[in-house]
Amino acid sequence: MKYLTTYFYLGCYFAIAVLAISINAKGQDPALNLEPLKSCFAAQKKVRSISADFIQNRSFRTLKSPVTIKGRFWFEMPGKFRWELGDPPKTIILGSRDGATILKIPQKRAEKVAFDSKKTMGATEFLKMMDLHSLQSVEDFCKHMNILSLKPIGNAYRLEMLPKDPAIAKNLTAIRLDFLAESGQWIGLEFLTKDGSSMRTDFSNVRINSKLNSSVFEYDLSGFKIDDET
Amino acid sequence: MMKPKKAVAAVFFSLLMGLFVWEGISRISFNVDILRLLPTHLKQVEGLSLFLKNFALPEELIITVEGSTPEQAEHAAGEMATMLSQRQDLVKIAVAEAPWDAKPERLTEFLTFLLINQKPEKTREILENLSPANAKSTLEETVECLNSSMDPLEMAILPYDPYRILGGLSEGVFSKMSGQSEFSSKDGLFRIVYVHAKSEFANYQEMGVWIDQIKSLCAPIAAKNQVQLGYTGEPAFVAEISKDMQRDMTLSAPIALLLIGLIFWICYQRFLPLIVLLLMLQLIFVLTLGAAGLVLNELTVIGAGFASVMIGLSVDYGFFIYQKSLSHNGNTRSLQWDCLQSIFWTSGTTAAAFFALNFSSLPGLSQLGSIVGIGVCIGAVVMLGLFAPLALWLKKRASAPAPASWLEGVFASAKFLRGGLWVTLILVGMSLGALIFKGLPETDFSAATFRPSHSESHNALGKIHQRLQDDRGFLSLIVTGQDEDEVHGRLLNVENVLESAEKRGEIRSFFLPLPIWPNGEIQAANLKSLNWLAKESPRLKNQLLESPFTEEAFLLSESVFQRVALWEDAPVPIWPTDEASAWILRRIARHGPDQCLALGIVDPASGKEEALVESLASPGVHLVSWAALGAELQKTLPAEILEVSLWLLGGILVILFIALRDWRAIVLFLLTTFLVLACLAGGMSWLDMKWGFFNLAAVLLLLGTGTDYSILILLSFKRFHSIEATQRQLSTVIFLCCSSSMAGFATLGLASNMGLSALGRTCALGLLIDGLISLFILPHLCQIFLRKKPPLEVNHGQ
Repeated sequence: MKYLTTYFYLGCYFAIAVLAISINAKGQDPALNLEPLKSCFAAQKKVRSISADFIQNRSFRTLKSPVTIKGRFWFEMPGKFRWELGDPPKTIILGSRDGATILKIPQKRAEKVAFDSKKTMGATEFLKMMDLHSLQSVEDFCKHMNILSLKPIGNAYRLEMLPKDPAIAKNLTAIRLDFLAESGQWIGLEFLTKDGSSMRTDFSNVRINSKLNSSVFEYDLSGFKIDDET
Repeated sequence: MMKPKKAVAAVFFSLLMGLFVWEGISRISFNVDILRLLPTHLKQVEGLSLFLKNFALPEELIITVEGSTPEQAEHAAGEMATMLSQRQDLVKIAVAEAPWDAKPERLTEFLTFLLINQKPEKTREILENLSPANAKSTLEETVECLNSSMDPLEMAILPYDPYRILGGLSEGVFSKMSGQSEFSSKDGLFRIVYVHAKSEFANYQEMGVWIDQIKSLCAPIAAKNQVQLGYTGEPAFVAEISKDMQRDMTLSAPIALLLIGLIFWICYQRFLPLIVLLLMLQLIFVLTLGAAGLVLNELTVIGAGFASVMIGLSVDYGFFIYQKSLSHNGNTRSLQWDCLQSIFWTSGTTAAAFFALNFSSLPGLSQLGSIVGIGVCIGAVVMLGLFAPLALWLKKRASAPAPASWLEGVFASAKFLRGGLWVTLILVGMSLGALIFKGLPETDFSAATFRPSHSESHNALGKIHQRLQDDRGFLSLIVTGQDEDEVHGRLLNVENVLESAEKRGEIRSFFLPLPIWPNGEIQAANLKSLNWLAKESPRLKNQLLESPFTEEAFLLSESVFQRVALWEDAPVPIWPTDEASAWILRRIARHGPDQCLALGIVDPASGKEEALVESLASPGVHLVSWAALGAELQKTLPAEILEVSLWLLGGILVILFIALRDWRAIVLFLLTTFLVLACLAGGMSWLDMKWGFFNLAAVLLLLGTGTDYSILILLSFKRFHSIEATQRQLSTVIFLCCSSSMAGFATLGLASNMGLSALGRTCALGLLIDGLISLFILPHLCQIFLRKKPPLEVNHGQ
């Protein structure tokens, strides 16, 4: 019977959408000190641009060992971003508040999706969170998420949370976000599912408010087959 | 003492009547399907009937659970589902989450079913990927994909489908079928429990009892968890509407009787005659119900409103006979003879008007017309045959002669008649003014007019629209066929049309059940290929174990192969039969030996609904919605009512011409009728009343009932050739008839069904206008246009 609990993974489909949203104060420990999170949010409001490298570890229940991939991302106000997976890049997502283009480089395929389309329940939702200004306050965040814990880990903090939407939450154990309270910088982000799988992204070489070349947010689509779902 | 022969005859007759009534009433059942009120030739009616019959799920009760925290709502919903599932005497299944959430392996059969339904090219692609030469690279590609994919669906499925056997499904079916949860709102505060009754319901009473039992079982859980419950779904609607109909039937008639009794008391202040009259009305009601049962078998929501209307109309003959009896000096037979012509005349036109509703293609109106027509005829017979002798007996029994109604003195006074004229002129002026300045009343043919005014189940449904998914703008696509292949072919054609419409921007999105719809040939071809693959299972497993995947990764593929093997020799087309599949298919597909149905959803661009409905119209394809039905009714109903009205008016004019033989009187009649209808439209506009499906029939009813007043005035004027004499002669009778008919219709205005209530209010308003114009203005018009003509010798009995 256990093998088919793997269908839980269907739920991961929803789980990534979670990143765009936020938390709920109700149901959480009233003694929980949310000050570090408030500081993080306050600091993020000063952010104009970000660029960072990351390493993503994906551990699947049915894989003998985790798989690892490097990547980079860039963000610039108001809501422009580039998410690059692989070195050299295999998947690139270029986005703005209007929507995103998902590029599969080896296949030379591009897909344009709107943020409010079903497709955005997937990867682009993940990147919506890059739009830091959409997170108005901890209270807004708490409308959509249950905070399970907020603990210091060294000089950073680890926030454990679960989305309030039961359809998304039912297959997740937790979402972990490691961050620096003062600068609002993310250190790592991890999804843990009930079947024991996980996906952790560790950020490094983070540069905040540095000048970004506008060409970062563009890509020459010549030779690409484009699916326009917008 | 009654002679023995007469006594035996009376007992025999009573028994016969009793049997007749019992037989008739026992055959009556309520039909709450509002589509039964509408013309069956309309495409929308046909399509919606198919939808309700096949996809409305008459045994599925939907319980909405609202909590102040997600935990409360979740706990209460889960507890209710568990508790109800244990009550196997009442419930077949109760679920607060999808059947496969707790046991995901339950999806295997459905996934395999999807696999054998996909295009054979995709199956060939799978075979190619899994060939001895390519299997290893397929696994490597999957690992690579798991490492670099950003597609959450891919990441969810591929770890358990390393050979990508289900890969084709993720692009088609999953992406289209995933969406808003049907169990919970995003904030978790609102949850749904679906409860299937143990078996089909025999009738609405059984349904109501079952729902009450479920409510009483759930109430303690709701109290304990501090959540609010709502009940909706087909059984809740049916039970609610049926109960309302029963209440309307049982309340409106007594209220009408009470009002009529009050009017009689104000007029005559005699107790015993009042009691006898009320008994006669009840007898008429029971006899009519019995006759209706024999003719109609079932009552729709409109038919249920007949009682008060019929009582309001039948009592006219009682008033008339009682009034005549007060001054009658002959025997019973002569009284009956005196009254016969007038009653025949007025009941004939009224019954004709109601029977004329049968010319309408609207079954609801036809039913109302038939029942009231029968009732009016029975009323005339009962009043003449029973009430007339009783009225005379009562007069003789009284120690002192009965005084004439005190109202007669009031109505005969010049001051009253002058005042009445001015009041009527002012009201006519205001109504016409409203018509000129505010225009015609607005129209409302939406489905809302069919509903009860206060409905718990609609409130609960509204919350589902608000909290889960608002599908009210969507169109339901019903595709029918004799078998699976015919439906499949039609679905393919529809898909082409919808894809073109989507490209043109006429629709935002659509869902067709094509990926789940079986086609015998395709299934046979796919099963053949997949069975070969199933036999390759050991090789594939060994290959997988040599890759980065664990053995667990192969279990899903293995279970699919096992299911394929089970279906190897099964006759096609194959349908899955397990619980999870039944749950998924319950709102998408129906298949039987004679008919198959598929249900899709179309989200149209604003303003494109009508064009879409037309572009898809073809045999076996119905694109429907309640809004589209409203639009279709708005297009067809006014013309329909106008046609029937013209036929009815034509009939009345022919009868009038025979009786009056004066074209000027006919013109006056037409003028009065036109003025009444214009003032009704103005009055409705003034009072912000709307024309709808139900109250358009008011035009017909006014032609049948209200025109009696102007006909009586015209006949009387032809006889007396004097305004005063005409008004003196008829004011009391018209007041009594008009007020009793108004009481009947106004009582209908209290009906829980909004459409029926609108019909009652519109008719009451129309009758008031008709009575006032006929009594106070028409005699003056007669004075101007008819005075030089010699009086006609028409005995109208007044």
